[in-house]
Amino acid sequence: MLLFTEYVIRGLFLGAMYGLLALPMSLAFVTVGTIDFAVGAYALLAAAIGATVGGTLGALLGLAGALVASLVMAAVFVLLKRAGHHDTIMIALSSFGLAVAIGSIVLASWGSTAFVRQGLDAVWTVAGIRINPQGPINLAVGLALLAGLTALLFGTGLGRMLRASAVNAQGAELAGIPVVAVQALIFAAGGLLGGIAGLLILYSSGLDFTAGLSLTLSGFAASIVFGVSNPARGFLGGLAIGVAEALSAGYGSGAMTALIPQFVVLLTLGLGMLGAGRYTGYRP
Amino acid sequence: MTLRLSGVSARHGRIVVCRNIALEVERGEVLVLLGPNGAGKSSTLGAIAGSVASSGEIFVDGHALQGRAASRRARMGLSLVPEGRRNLFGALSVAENLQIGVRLLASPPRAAALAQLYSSFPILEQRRAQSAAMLSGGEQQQLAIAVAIARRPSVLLLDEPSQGLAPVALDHLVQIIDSLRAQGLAVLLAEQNHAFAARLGDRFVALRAGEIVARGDRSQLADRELAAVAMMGQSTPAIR
Amino acid sequence: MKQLRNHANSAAALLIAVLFALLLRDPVWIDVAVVIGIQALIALSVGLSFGQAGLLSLAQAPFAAIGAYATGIISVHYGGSPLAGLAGAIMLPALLGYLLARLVIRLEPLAVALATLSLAAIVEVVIRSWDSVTGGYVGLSGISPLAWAASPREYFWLVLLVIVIVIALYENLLASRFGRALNTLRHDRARAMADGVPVVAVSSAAFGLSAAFAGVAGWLYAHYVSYVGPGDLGTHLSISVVLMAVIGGASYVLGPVVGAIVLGVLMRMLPAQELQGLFYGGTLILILLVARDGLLGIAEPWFARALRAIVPQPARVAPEDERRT
Repeated sequence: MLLFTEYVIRGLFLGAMYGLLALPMSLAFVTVGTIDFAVGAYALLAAAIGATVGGTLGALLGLAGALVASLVMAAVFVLLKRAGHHDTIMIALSSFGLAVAIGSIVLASWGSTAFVRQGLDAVWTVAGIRINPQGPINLAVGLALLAGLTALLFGTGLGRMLRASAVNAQGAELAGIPVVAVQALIFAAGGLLGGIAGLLILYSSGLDFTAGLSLTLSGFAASIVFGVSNPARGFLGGLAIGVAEALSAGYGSGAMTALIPQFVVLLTLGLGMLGAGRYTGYRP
Repeated sequence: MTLRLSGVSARHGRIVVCRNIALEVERGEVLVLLGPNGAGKSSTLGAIAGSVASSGEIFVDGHALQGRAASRRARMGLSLVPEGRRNLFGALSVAENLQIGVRLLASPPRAAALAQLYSSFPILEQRRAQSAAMLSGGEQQQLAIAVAIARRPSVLLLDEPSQGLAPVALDHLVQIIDSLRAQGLAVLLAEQNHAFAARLGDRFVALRAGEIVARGDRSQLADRELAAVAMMGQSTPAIR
Repeated sequence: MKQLRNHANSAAALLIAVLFALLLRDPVWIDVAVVIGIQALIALSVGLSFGQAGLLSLAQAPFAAIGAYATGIISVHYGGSPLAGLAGAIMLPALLGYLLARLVIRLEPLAVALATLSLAAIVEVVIRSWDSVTGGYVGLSGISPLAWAASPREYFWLVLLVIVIVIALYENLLASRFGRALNTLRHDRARAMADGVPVVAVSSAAFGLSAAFAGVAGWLYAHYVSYVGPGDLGTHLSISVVLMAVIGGASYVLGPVVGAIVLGVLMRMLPAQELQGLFYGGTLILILLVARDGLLGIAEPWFARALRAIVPQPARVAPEDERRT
């Protein structure tokens, strides 16, 4: 029982990072109707820079790097829109291209060794369970960002514009909201949130240059498993996947564990659970 | 001249849906765009608002709109209530819809503008917290107009506002549009409900198959027979 | 004449193939050409699924891997003939592709892209961990070579022959009722439904067929190298075949082949292996921004003019136009 509790707690700490990645994924899916395949790559870039420079400066530079990468994606998005591409697949495909390009830059600059940093070496023992304080930090950061994003979406003018563009882009355009600019902002948010997730992963389990696409997939799995309609569900989805992975790693095999996000995606898609939220917009 | 179009053509993809449209609407005037389904009324309004691709000249308050994005035109004094009140955000509350409406105003007058909207549309005050999708047709129409005029445009484009409304709601809508005219708004109203249009229009323009086939004034609009002829597109010397 | 015009793509492919077969003698370049040819086949499968059916697949290389492993397992574990392997290499990916598409195709096209990405990861993990069957990390070696295409040069001819056959099949498919249904479907799903097109069945069949094309490429690969390992037909190949199709023009039958040749030759000139991804990703974005219909899209008006000068009557075929509105 103690072991089980430990796995669940470990899973929650891990899941917080998937939950973070899920936030920009569900935002992009609901408002732009597309997937930013590069979100995981932003995380990778932030982690790579953070690992090399180290410390607070490294974290800041890592975030800046992730943000710059996502601004590239935002610019590509605006250019595609300007060129009259309204096919969301094309936007997704170019983000895929960016993800591959970032992975390659990381490989060429830092090589194939894994990035990992030991943040805190203290160990807390709570009711017989040993916890590295990095775990609670991950969960706290994730919850704080979720709260911040929810406040932004439902309590500010910008959030109102975002939600309005999501429900009715043409109506938003008629109301004088620059919809494409608002949507471009969402790609930038992907850089920021993805970057933070990447830094947390760097100080927890670590990652290597191949992590980009699989992190994107984990984030996407998290964002859809409980319905894509609002960010809190995405975050919860992240926690659930984290727990499932931790339990599978504890009791099952490694191969099984690595495939949990993939099975979640296939199962959710197969049950036809994606798409409903897309057409009704955010429903708080 | 508050709204002026000359030589405007609109197209969906490669298909030209209306061509060579010329019309003018003054302050405090309601111009009715009459025509059967598919005559190109909505496309003309879309071309003005920027949601349909177009060529030709469009001016609002002397500013050229051509080539600007719809959101930019909205900032230049133009406001469209599309068919089926598609300018509403169904999942957002009535209050939020109105807040988006007043967004383009400078921040101090916003609260005053909201208060004024609520006093002109008391039913919206009662429904503040409800989502727009939950309102009745008549209430939605009021909200759609309230959102459209919230930013104090000089030109209001209305696309078939009478559609799906009960008689009582129609009467109320006539009052609303009358008072907007009295406030000095230039209103371009696309309609196929002739009886409704005749209660409001100062002048009319009849469209058929994407082209203007007749124009007339208030008295001719009131003449059912003449207007019916105009709707059918057979221009007679009396109208022309 | 009309017959020829209707089969312009396979005729052109046949011509190019014969030219290549006659001119290419340098063994190094023959080896390069075989690899490019196999990639061109996978790129053709992208053309069918993405260019025609509008379904972006990020699992075409894994489908090829399944084909390669299918024939490899039949050959190594059971001593089966390459022809038995070919049947497996076609049927297994086709079945998997069909079932996957069936599962997710009702949703929007993006869902398919994600589902294929998931499938790719699953295939990779299964290949790496199922030691007793796939050889795990070590891979499968000792796959029997083809007795009737023993020398690299003969093998090159075989690859060319397969490409020409696949193009002819592809072209006939587009001209058929199925192809027209596919075309309507891609542009207007609602209209296709109203026309009575069985949307799910048609898209899934196209996707399954596309997976089968990739499977054939995997079969060619396995018998050429006589070895298949977990890293051979992986994610980066999935990306490069999509890139090939987009560069050449995914909606044109020959687009993916043109893209494969251009990219294949360019790749030999790239200095560092690590920067391959940067080159792929950057080119992909650039092409989408500046020439979404690819090289053939750029060449088409120019080519049509030249054709009209040679052939007096209007040589334009209507569906080509409709396909790109």
